[in-house]
Amino acid sequence: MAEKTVKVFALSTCPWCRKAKQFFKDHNIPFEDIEFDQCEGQMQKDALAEMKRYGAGDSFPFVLIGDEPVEGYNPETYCNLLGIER
Amino acid sequence: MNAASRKKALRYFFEKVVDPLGYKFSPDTELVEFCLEQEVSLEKKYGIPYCPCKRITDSRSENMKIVCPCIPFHKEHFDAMKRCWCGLFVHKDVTDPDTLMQFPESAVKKG
Repeated sequence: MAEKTVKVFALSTCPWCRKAKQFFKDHNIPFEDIEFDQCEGQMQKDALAEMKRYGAGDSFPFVLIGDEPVEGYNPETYCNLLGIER
Repeated sequence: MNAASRKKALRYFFEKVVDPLGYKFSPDTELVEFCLEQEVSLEKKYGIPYCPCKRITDSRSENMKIVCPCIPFHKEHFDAMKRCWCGLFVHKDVTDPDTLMQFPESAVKKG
């Protein structure tokens, strides 16, 4: 079974975004790190469009695990979606 | 005013605003320090201490809803979590903020 891709949409000012990224690092799960407020112009528009497509509000972190969106830092949900132990 | 003084001023002001709403600063002092530092830097950049975990939009009216302390605009959601989104403030009865989870506002509305 192919591993699910993970994308973390984050703000550089957000402590829970840091925790979310640390969670994936600690579990050796590769992830795409999209630091939203550090993106400019079209890159930021594209990131926002992708978040909105998955039903995001304006809160960070916003994590995509495969096609499943998770708004907020929620290790339990991350584990469930990835099928890993906490 | 330097960043440390501004942080101190925000702390003083915020405490008075959140107390009657049933909230207090989180017992997680490291988190509180970090959030306040970020808010001071956001205030320096935008003129307003926005929540460090929310997207600043092109809409002034929407942005007003994320000015710290933004509890009155999200009371139902935050009361359900017993914390504000960034965790700077928690319900007064909270002693262990690590037990509190973030969940989206839509989860509250679904019940």
